Amino acid sequence: MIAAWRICREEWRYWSRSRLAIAAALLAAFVSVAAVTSTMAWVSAEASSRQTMQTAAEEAFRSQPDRHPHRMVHYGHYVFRTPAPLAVLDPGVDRLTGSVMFLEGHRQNSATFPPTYASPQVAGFERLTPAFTYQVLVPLLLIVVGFSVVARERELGTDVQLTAQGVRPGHVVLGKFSALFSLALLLMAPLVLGSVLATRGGEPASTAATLVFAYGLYLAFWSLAIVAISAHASRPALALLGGCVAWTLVAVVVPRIAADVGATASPVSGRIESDLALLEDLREVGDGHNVADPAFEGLRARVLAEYGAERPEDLPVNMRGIVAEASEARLTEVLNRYAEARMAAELQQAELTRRAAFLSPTAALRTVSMRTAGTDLENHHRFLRAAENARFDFVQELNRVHIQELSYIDDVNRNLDEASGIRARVSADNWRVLQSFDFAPAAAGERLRSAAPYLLLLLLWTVGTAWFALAGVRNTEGWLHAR
Amino acid sequence: MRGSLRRELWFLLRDRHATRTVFAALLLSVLAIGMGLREVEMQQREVASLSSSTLVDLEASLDGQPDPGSAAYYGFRLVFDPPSALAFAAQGVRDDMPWKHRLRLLALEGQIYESDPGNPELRQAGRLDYSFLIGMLAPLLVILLLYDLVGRERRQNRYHLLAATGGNAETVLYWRAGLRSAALALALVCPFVGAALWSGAPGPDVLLLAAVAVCHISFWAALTVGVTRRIDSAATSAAVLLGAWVVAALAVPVVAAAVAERQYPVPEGGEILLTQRETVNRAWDLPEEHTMVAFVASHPTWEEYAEVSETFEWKWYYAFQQVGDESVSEESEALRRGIRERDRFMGLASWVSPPLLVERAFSGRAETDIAAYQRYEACARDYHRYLREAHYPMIFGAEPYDMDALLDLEALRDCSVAD
Repeated sequence: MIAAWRICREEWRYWSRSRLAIAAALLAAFVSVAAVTSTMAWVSAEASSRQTMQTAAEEAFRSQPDRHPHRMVHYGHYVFRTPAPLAVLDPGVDRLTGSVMFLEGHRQNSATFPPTYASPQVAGFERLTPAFTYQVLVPLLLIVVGFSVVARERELGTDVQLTAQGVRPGHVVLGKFSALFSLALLLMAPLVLGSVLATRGGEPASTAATLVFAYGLYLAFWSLAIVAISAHASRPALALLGGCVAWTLVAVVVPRIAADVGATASPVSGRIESDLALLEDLREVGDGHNVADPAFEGLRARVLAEYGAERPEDLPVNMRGIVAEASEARLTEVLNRYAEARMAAELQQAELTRRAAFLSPTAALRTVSMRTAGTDLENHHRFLRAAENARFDFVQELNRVHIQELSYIDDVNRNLDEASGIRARVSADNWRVLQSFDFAPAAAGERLRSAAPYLLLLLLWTVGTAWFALAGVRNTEGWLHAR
Repeated sequence: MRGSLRRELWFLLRDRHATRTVFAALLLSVLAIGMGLREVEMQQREVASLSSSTLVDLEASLDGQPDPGSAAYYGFRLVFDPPSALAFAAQGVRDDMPWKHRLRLLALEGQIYESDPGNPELRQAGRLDYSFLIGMLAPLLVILLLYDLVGRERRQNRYHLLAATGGNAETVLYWRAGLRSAALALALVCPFVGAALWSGAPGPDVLLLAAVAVCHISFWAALTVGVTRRIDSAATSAAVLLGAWVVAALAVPVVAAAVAERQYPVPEGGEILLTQRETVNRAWDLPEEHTMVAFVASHPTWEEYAEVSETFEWKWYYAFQQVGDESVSEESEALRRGIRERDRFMGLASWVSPPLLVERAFSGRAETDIAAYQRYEACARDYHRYLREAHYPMIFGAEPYDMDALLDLEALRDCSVAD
């Protein structure tokens, strides 16, 4: 144990004399601080502006004047997606998905204006988020700092001296790993701070802690991988080469190829294309604006029979509203069927892509991170469903107002002249039916459960790499001789 | 000279490390191009199937419409920008920005921002397209291939021997680095040239991009040789080169983007939507003349038809849709201008970041950059204007309602053949 501690201390002493190691460590520190502060600033600005617009949209709806209730169905409403508190560390798909959605009767619109809409194109790599920094950049800089940890000893022949002093391979792995990992932990300070701040913003401690733990585990994997590669390489230069190749494959190439494989293996048709198929189906639902549409004949007869009335004019309720309500319900069923099919297909693509976790710990961490933060595909779908519920609720609430508050005769005659147009309006008090839209990611327990398998995989990667490092040190000349 | 070439070629073929790197480059290049070609093919197939189903849908939805206003309300038409022959090499912004719209005569601002992007979690991983390979990964391959050339000779104490036999150690080194870079460049560029010519890309563009790729590889090769000659330890020089790569490929673009965002603010997209909707909907509560006066002020042609006598007339309906568009035209123009200015700034910044410069060159030629997106958006706006102008004579009553004429309108606009 003392031997491991000494090795660790010596490594730090070596780094402190190496300009290269200092430069790389400083660069990593600078980048991680910049990533956390800039993303926090960006996400919180985004969150507050979306919150402001959400309030403005709700105010606007509730302060509309007296109107025909169906006009309000088409006036519609806007919902904005407020980012999850941990999005300051991993914005995940939030950057790429629309932040605002127009809700109106008879249609499901897509979310527009993703945060990337007007943002400048930085070639190839995504913006400097903490997720990207710790998943991709920090490992590369750790490689630059530590590629020579074991290979250097071997090149200088100091491994023989270590053996002579009775140091065992396990001590070497532990010592070298501790040196690298303690540096990684120092570099994680901004991430830890960010997650503490996220708990202040309403994030449960369990998810915030799990996120930090997962990144810690991932950097432990890289620290071990660097020791392993360094131990297996015959020269420091080859260790750097090996680290670089491993990094390129694991952190850059495999996740990207996996995404392409996912897209190819189960293609999802474009939204416009499925909308066209959906329109075909919707024609059979009937036009809810047209009270005489043959599609609603059964409904009309049933309502008349229920009230023992001959004509719609004799009903105590508004037949046009009843037809609108029924048609909205039928139509929504079709809309939801398509929407659910689309989400299932997207999920299938994502599941396929996530299997890259077996080939790349970066892919594993990516999934853990997005799931824990609540910024994965499932949470995007959650938003889509929440928005659809909000849409359906306010439209049907307005249809109920239409049924109960507006007489059929006034309704039918609304276009005769201006006075009849005014008679066919209902009081603005009814617009208070609008519920406030408040979207939050899934509960902490659910997010943690969904992240657990990938976290386990990450753990396996780390354990496997530890073994690989140990095997590498055992094979260095010093201990081969000792055996 | 031929002697040097033959000797170095022999060395190259016998150097396992070098042949492996070149082979890996070839593999990546073929893979990136294959994935790009497949993506383009999917997009082409989508355009074809959308075109035919739009026509079917248009005929079905216009069928039996009693007046031009309803025909315009229910008739959706397609405007699109098919992938160019070079799009396989650089997807550019086509993943994020819309390149196809189903439009109808309602307010355009409510429709133009609708996009049809793919699975966000897949897009979040990023793409390994050819421009990424050349811009971002090729420098790493060059470093891997060349960082140890001097170091190895020094280590094996052959450096001075080499200097003695080869005449000049420097010359030998340049030969070696040059030949290896050339092999790498061939492995990376040949598949591209083949695929580009096969998909019918214009020759000068292909030549230009191939030259860009070769220049980029040469730049990193020169940098690597320069650094390795000055630093004794191969590992240190490789680490310095990696640092240079991080700065050029990651730091400069990210910092430039942050500066661009601060320097050129754009109006909030959500605000544009909210304002536009307010204007459109307020019209219902205002006297019809109010809308018609505003409409006629910008479209005097329709002055004599602008009188609204009934409580609901389509001409009033479409007039307030257009007035709604005009109410946000300034913000909308400001948004486009901001995007353009930010992009111009990134163009300037790319002169200090070769990887960014390379990617911009590729997406520019492949017509998948911001400029191409804005050209498409202008084309879609132009198409919407065309539809308005074609419908208004019937809607305003200057011409009789003629369903056949509406069906004869251009129902599909291909923006790649415009201009």
